[in-house]
Amino acid sequence: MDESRLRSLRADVESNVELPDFAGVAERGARIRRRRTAATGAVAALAVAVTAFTVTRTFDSDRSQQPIHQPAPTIDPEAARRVLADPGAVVDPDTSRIGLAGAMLAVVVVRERTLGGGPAGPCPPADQRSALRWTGPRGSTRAWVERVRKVEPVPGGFVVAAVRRPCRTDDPADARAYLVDGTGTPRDITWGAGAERVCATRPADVRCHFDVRSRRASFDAAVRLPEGAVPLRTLAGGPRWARSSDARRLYWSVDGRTWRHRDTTLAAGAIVSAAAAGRWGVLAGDTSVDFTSDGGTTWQHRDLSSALRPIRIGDVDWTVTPSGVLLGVTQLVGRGDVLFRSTDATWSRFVETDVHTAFGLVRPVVVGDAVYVVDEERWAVSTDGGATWRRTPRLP
Amino acid sequence: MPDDGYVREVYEASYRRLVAQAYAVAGDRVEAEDAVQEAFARAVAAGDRFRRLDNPEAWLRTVALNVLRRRWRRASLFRALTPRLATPADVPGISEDHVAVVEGLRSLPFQQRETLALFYLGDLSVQEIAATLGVADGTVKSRLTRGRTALAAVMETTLEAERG
Repeated sequence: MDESRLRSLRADVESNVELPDFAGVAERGARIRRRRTAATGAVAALAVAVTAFTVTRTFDSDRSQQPIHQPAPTIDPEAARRVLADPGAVVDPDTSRIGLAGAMLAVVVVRERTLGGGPAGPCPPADQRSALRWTGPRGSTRAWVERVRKVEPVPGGFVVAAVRRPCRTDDPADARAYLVDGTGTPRDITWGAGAERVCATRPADVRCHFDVRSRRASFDAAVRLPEGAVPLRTLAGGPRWARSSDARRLYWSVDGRTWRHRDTTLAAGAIVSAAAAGRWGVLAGDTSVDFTSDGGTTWQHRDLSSALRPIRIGDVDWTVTPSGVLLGVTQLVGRGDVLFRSTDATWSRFVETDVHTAFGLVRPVVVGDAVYVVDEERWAVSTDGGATWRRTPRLP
Repeated sequence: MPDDGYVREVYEASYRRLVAQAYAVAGDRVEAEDAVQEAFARAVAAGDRFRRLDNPEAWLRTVALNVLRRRWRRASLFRALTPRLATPADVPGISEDHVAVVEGLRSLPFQQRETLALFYLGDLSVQEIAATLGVADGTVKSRLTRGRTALAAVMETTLEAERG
């Protein structure tokens, strides 16, 4: 083999390849960014939904208007099996979600066998075959044919949103949202006053509250975030959390109306992660953390340098769990992105997990007792603070 | 909205070079361009983390290779069960000799192909390839030797067939 033919191939290709407009790449990157934001923001609904138990103006307090009852969909498991068994069936990571106890509601779509990456249209094609597949924490599954819809985790299950208005067909089911309970069974919703208008299509709205057990949804118009703030997740009994867009400030509120805040003590320009779960809130740099473990009442500072010494870290994206375990993602030379964790809430010892990717591991998302990370094909889910992980099953 | 200006600069400087390497690995121009564009899209999504990399082109190359590798794995079963649906796309304008080289590369195992591409088209050293692929130096050398031998055999066979 003449090696010069291989070497000259490069120059020949380079001189004949056209440089596509960067705008297309930038848009594609923006979509990835939105997807990651969505993964984090998926729990935004939960942040409010869980603590909305404490909100005064709920459906029950507004009985002057009659609730609206919506039926659950009819399930055809055989049709769903055909969708899932199609060689072109893939889980759509943009819309699928993990629930509180590690259950997963996957949106499965049958795609044409193209290279992918092209811009998605504003609405899925009307004839696109798709299904929802629920997978329980112990591996049981249930599936049904469904159009591509937004799904959101809520206490006790999921909400499957109505199809967006511009994408609806004549089928009245498109305009309906419904619940999926802890056994993966679709359930009807009874809407409280003003709830359906906002919450059917935007269940993640901070003003919406879903109660799977009573199958009710309510709407609290008085809940609002500080200006420019991004909601973070929380749990029952804890405050609502939000962060500033530059992650240098954490906000918290008990009722969703009045908010307090704390700014990082790290120098301007330092990379800061703002994370919260339950009563824990952290403003963390690479090796130091400002934190509260009592819902913002008291704050402390901790230097993690010596505890992190066994892990040769670079820049770290931090996450905290409701039990106070710190999870960090960092890029290690020659190994790609690695997820590591503190062994407990004292943060005196950190160990690597077996979750890593060559590139592209994003910050884990905490939902109730579950922590998960999304990779290109599946989810890695932990329900013990990152100590052990399981991969969500492949199709079918 | 993050500033994508830095990624754009790297894009203009490195895109063609990366496509050449990805093309040798994928054996398909469309697939190669898509993998490289995916890598740049992830760079856009990475924001400041990309800006802080010491060697952004190495990062992009690794991402593009991972994309190709994953697609290769996914497609391999499908290929085994069904005949190829479409002819791979070549880069318009390249010489027939180079089209033949790419055709020859296509017939090699994926690992040999990516090693040859990084060595000859990426101008990476054995040590750099080992770091990129996460394998030992000796593995790279072995893949280079076997890949060169296999490619020579394929090209020779092709030539003989053309001569009749």
